[in-house]
Amino acid sequence: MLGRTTARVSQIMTGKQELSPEIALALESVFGVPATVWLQREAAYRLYLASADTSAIRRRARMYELAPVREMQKRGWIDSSESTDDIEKELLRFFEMDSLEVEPAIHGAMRKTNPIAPPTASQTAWACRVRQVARAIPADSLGAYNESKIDACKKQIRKLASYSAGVGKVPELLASFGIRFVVVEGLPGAKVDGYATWLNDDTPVIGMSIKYDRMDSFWHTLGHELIHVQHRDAAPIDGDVSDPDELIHGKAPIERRADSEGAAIYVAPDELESFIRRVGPVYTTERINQFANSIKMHPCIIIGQLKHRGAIGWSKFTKISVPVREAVIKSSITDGWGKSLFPGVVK
Amino acid sequence: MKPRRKKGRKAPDKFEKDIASMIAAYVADTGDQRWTRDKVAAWAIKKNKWEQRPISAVRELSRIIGRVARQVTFVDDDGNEVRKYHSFQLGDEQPRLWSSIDAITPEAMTASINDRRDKLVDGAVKMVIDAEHYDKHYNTGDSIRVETDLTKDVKEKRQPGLYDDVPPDDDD
Repeated sequence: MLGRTTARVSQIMTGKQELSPEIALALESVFGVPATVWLQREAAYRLYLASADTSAIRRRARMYELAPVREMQKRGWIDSSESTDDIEKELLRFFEMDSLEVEPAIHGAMRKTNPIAPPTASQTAWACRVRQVARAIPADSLGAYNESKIDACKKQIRKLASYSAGVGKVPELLASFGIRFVVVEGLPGAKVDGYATWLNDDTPVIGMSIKYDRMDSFWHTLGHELIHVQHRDAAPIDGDVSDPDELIHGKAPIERRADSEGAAIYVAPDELESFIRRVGPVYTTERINQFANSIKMHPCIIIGQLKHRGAIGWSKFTKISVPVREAVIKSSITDGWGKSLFPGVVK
Repeated sequence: MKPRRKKGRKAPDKFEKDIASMIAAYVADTGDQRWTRDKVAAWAIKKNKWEQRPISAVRELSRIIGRVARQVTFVDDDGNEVRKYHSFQLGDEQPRLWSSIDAITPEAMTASINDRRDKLVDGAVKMVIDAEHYDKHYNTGDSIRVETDLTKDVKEKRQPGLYDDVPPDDDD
């Protein structure tokens, strides 16, 4: 009657074939319903389909905004799949969330290159991975965490920091004090050094990225995170940046405290100030080594602290730097640099 | 009020005054405010402002002996470099005598050590006065904090110049 094949009519009825003005006119002549009505309905239907497509794009965009999906798949943190539903399911599992409409939570304090900026997607994913990997450490391989023993822990850390080979003993020492220590290689662009978090009230975790393969950076970050653990600095990192005073000073108070108290684990501030006053502004390797021998602290750490205080330039004494990454990951639960964990133990 | 010269410090002789004038003339002539001794000496000779002054052979050799005697050292059982010859005066009007460390009496050694210490203190006093003067008249930044307690420096300077990269002894 319409002058079209049955198959064509069926395609139009199921929406697989667009309704053309010619068909609309044919329908008008058969059913008496104006062609404009048919075309309006067709337009409304096509609009509905297009909006459904946009919603799927929006959903996918949201996932990629929340997380570096491709990098996480590459590292095996989430299953590899192209399906939007699968990726969403994996992200919800990874971030332990019910909905992607909220931001993933960071349970703890993170030491990153820009301390006042909210954490990026890569930083957040890295922090969540630290927690996952830390959870995989068997509880019976650790001592019980006891707040009153943290000073003893700091004292032991100081001893390890005084010689190059000490870095390899850090995981064992922290475990004996009930602190889980894990190393997770950073994701590309995730400018993060360390992270202190709590799995529960009695289970502190220190995660490190060893972004810089340098002894001074390693110990400074470790000291910084240990102070966060000592003070239970568990506020989400982006919870503090709205305070204008903190924006002015550049770092949140808890970060500044972690920097100063962390540095004091290795070199008493008055000792360093005295050294700067007596020797600066020109420092020789011999004079730094003599000071290092005198207080029994590795010269790399002294040089790092002098650089942080602006007493010497960042480009000075680079030849004295000692690499640590290999020694640390050899003795630590590590995710990265080709080392991975069985998927089952971190899901 | 004119400041009093410290007791025991002799006034500069004509020769020393000439040298001081030479430095001032060099700075005025060249405008160089960060000079080296070599640069001033080369300038003075080029400008014919320097003539080798006549000096007796004995006086010249005596001065060299004094300089060299202060530099003669040996290494003791603990690995420390120790000065062999020490000078001392047993009174204001007495000649300066020299003895080797294995022959000097305790009284003379005490006098020698305290004489050297007194020179350190003189240097410290001058250093403080200079820093204070600089702070008062020229310093546009923070005051220079002069540390006169040498205890930490002595302790540090007795340490090896290479770091002993081993675990600490007190591993309790």
